[in-house]
Formats: sequence, C-alpha cells, structure tokens
Amino acid sequence: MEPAVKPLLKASGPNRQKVSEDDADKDPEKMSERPSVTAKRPPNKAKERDVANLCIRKAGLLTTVQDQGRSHMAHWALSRGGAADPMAARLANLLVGNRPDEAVIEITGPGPQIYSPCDLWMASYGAEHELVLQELAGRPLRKAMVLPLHRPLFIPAGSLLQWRAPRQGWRSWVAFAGGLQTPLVLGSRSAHLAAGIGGQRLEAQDILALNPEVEGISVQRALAALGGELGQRATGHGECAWPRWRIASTIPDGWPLLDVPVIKGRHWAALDATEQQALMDQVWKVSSQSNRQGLRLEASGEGRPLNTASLPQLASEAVHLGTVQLPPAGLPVILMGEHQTTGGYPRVLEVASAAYPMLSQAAAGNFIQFHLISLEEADRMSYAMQRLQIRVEQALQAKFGQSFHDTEHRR
Amino acid sequence: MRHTYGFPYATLDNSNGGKAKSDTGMMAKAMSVTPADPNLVPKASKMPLPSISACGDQWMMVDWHDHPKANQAARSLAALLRQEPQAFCDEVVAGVRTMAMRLPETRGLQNPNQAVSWRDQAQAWLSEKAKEALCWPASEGRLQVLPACYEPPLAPDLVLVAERCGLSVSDVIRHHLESELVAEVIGFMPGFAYLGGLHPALKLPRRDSPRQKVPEGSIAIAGNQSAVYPSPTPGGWHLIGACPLRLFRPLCDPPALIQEGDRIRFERISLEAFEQQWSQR
Repeated sequence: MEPAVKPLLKASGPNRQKVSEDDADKDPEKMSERPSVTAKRPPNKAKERDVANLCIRKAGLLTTVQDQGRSHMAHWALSRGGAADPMAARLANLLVGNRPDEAVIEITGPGPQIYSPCDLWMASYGAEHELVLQELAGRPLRKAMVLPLHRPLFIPAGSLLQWRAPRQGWRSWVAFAGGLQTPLVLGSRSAHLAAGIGGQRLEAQDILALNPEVEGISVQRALAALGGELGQRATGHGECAWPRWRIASTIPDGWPLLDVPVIKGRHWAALDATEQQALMDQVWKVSSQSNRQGLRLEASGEGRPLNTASLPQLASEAVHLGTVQLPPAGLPVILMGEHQTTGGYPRVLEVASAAYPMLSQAAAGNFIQFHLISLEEADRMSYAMQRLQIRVEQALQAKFGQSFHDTEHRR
Repeated sequence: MRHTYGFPYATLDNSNGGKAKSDTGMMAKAMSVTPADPNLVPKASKMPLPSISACGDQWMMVDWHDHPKANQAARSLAALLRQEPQAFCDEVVAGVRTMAMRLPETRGLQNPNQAVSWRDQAQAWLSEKAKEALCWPASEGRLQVLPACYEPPLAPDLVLVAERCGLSVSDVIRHHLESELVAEVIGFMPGFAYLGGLHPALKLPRRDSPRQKVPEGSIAIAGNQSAVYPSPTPGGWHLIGACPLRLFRPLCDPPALIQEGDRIRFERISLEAFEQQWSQR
C-alpha cells in the first residue's frame, strides 16, 4: 500500500524561476492580461499598506484560521482540532519560509475572496482549488488571472484573490510569510468550531492580522527565492511572480472514491459476520451532514444501513481521530479532528493514521470504501508517510536556506 | 496473540449467538439444563480481569469491563501516567470503565519498528499496573463546592423529576445537595464532567426526547450521574437547577474548573445570589 499522500518536490534550480508573463506568453488567451498584470503600483498606496491585515470580502463555504491544533487536552474534553490535514498545513508554511506550526487559513470547498493591502509571499496548498487574481495593485483585471497552486507566490499590495470551488479535493491551506497573528487561545490560533474555542468561521468584512513585518518579510523571501532580476521586478513594480517548481498536491489517488485503510476496532468482533462483510464491501457515500467533527456516511447504490442488533451497549470511553463508530441507525461515522473526546457508540474500525490526510479531502457526495489492514501494515504506512513528509520538509528548508526557519519547536 | 481487538465481554455474552437482551433467557435455559455446571454460570458474575488492546495504530486501551472499581482504577492509572510519564505514553484519557493511552508521535522516527516496541513496552507495563490499580486506595480528590440555584426559572424539570421519583421538590433538592459526587469522566464537551454518586432516590432514565438547546450553566441529572453544562448544547438530561460559575475558561490555567477525580458538592443559593454571581462571571 502506498502512503495516502505523495508530496514530492518537482524541483528545478532557482535559476529556472520565471515571472508570470512567461507562462502567459505560451497561452495566447492570456496575452491581453499583460498590461494589467504589470500594472505599476500607485504611489499613494504606502499609507494603506502600513496596515498588515487581510480583509475577508467573501467568506466562502467554510473558511477558518487553523494551525497544528491543541494537543494533549483530550483529558479536558477538548480534541486537538487544528488543520484537517496538519501535515499539509506544515508544508504550506514551509513553502513560504515559515515555521511549520504557524497559523494558516483553511479553505473548505468554494473558497473566500480576500483582499490584501500589503505585499504577500503566500502559498495555497492542498486541494486543486481554482485560485484567481481579480484585482492587481488596486486595479480590477479585465479578465481574472488564474494563479498556480502548491508553490509560493508573490502577490503585490492591493490585490484581490478568489478561491473558486476545487476541481479535485476539498480543503486547502493558505500560508502567509510571517504567519497570521490572530489571538492565541490555549496555545493555538485554531478555530475549534465544535467546542466554540479560538475564533469562529470567517465572515465577510472580517479582518485578519498578519505579522506586522509582513511586507519586509515577503519582499526579502521573494527576492531570495525568485533570484535577482525577477525578484526585483516583482517586488519593485507590483507584479505577481512565482517559482517554476511546485510540490505535489495531497489529493488521494482515485478521488472522489477514497480507498481508506482501516484496522479492526474494539467492537468489530461483536458485529455479525454478514454485517462485517457489508461494512467492508459496500461503497459508502459521504453525507452532507459531515463536518470537522466527523464524516457521516450513508449507503450508496445497492448499499444498506448495517444491522447493529448484535452490538453491545457501552459506557463512554475515549474516542479518537479516525475512530469509526457505528450508531444504532447502522450508518458509520468517521471521527475527524474536532471529535468529542468520549463516545458511547460501538467502534467497529479505526482508520490507519497514514490515511488521516485523505479524510480531509473527502467532500459531501464523495465515496469511501474501507479495506482492512493489519496493525503491522498500519505501522509501516505511518512510518513511510512520516519519512516522506520529513524528506519534503527538509528539501523545502534546504531550498530556502535555514535562515528563514527558526529551529522547530513544540508549543 | 499479543494485540487483541475483540470485546471479550460481548464475545462471551454472545458466544451462543444470543443478543444482549436475551441474556436472562439464555441464563434461565442454561440453568434449567444443568444448573450444577459451573461453566454455565454467566461470566459477568466473576470479577472481570482488565484487558489491553490496540485501538488503531496510535492508541491503546485498557478495559476493566464490569469490575465495580473500574472507574476508580481508570482514573488512578491515568493519574499515575500523568505523574510519572513513561516513554511509551504521550497522553491518557480515562473513560467510565476504560483508559486510553496514546503512543508517542511517530514523527522523526529512525526505526520502523519503534511503534511495535512501544506497544510491547506499554502492554507489559499496563497489564501489570491495570491489575494493581484495582487494589490502589481511592485517591482523595480535591473537594469543590459549587453554588446551585434550584429556583423555578432555572429548573424546568424539577417538578417533573419530583413526580417521577415520588418525592417532594424539596426532597429532590435535599438529595441532590447531599449527594457525594465524584468527577468520574471528563468528556462530551470542554469542561463537562460526568459526576457519579447521585443519590439513588433520584435515579431516572434520560428524557424521551432531548432538548435542542440546554442553557449554559444548567445543572442536570440522569441515571446515577449529575453534571453542569459548560456551554449551550443539545442534551437529554433533566434540568433541576443552574450553577453561575464558568466551568471552562480557555484563558486560565488549568482551563477546566472541574478535573477528573474532584469531589463535588453543591451548595444552595438564592435567585438573587445566582443573578449577582452570573453577572460577575
């Protein structure tokens, strides 16, 4: 079994980085955009740019601030929460030279519209969202320009960005050089929606504080990553720019049908054999009732709810990310990062930890099929996954030089 | 087998294909055939031994099953693991009759078999301590006295509870005040504590249909437990009063007012006192 996520550097040297117009050259349709793409920065922008804030113009379906969440608080009945795919959020941060645990914006499905009054060095990583630039340096573009994903981008002050519905996958994480500076609650900036802790879902008109030094940091990192000429043009003349390389997305193979590796749960043996088989053979559909607390599954096609009569009544016990509960109605629920910390429903399966990132890309209407693996296989997958993640992280750090990253610390 | 996934009690109870609800029937049948055969005495009547199993690839679970001291053992063992951290354990969460333990993060491992080795160490350590924990004396939890107002606007179910228990309203309040409650499990939502030890005269099943929204601060009872709701939520317990204190304060350390093992007593306050304390929280 391959690890669920295969982020690989599609690397090329820093010399091969080019400015946006070079891409536009190959696409005749984009030629008309060139004049506006290279719009000169209005001289009176300085004052507005002193304010290091992002302005949310439209909220999108569900947009929140997330970081690595609040670990070690389950005994206070607070689940970890945080980015639905914490590893993807780490990579988004590393793409812009941040410490991996900085706060990012998590975008779910059709995304927000965000205006930035200051220069940004940012990256959108995760799903295949369509990210478009609608205004550049304070001027509307006649035709919105599609920006690339999964790599750092220099976005000049006065730009309006829109994340349209993803072509593949469901969630993206957007990191900004210097990080977001929203309030820390219990050591994290994550919005835990289920517990009502640490901020809410973002709404139109919300203002998000960036690092006060965001412009200096963004320009410095863009210059270093894009090289002299391109960097100078982008940062000095208000152009969008990005490197040629990118890292692979986290969309699982086979999406929108997710093949989820699972281990037998504590109450698997209490389920009748025919129901065990139905649980494993059926293709389950992700219900629109799913959220950051859990993925609710419903029967699809010829599937049916399971007969749970043989399952025991239970006293509440600790449940975890990836626990597959089977309530009396016979439709499984996969617990996500904002799960309740205790539960009383029988737990028939546990998702292998290497497949957690896959769950974060499951949208309502997607399909899930389970396949049983052994604990030893789950360990191997987890190990392979972590090694891969570390390789990509190290490659990104090497690319930008250690000076961008404080040594990693745990809160 | 080193790692068991099964649910020994369910498996034993259902080994003849019987469902949980037919246990008594099975027992009667078995007794009528060969009442003297000790193998047919229901297993639940023996003191169950704790069992340890892997729970996914990140967690392990100790289950004391129906042992009368299961919850106390779960809390004691969790407390020990917090006081004396072990290399194989990153985090513990106690349940009603179980304790879950998370293995350390696998990040940065050089050895692909590290998780297996942690699981083996945990298995050995837990199987010894889980048995011992049943004999440890109950630790004397911190006593917390929580103000409680039982006045009608804050106690929508009080009259109904009195009726269904065959008591007067003042007896219901008296029994609740006299209950020696212990925070058995922290769960459901941040700051929520399942307080065991409710006076037996107040034992009632949950409401037939849950409320869509239980107000913050509500004091509730169900079964042999009581609780205070830290924030508004749907809930199926009977509301007999309200507590003006904030149970979860994210900006404080520790954030939760009630911690696992705390002894809780309620102290009656007037509606005026409640409103004054509520306004100052």
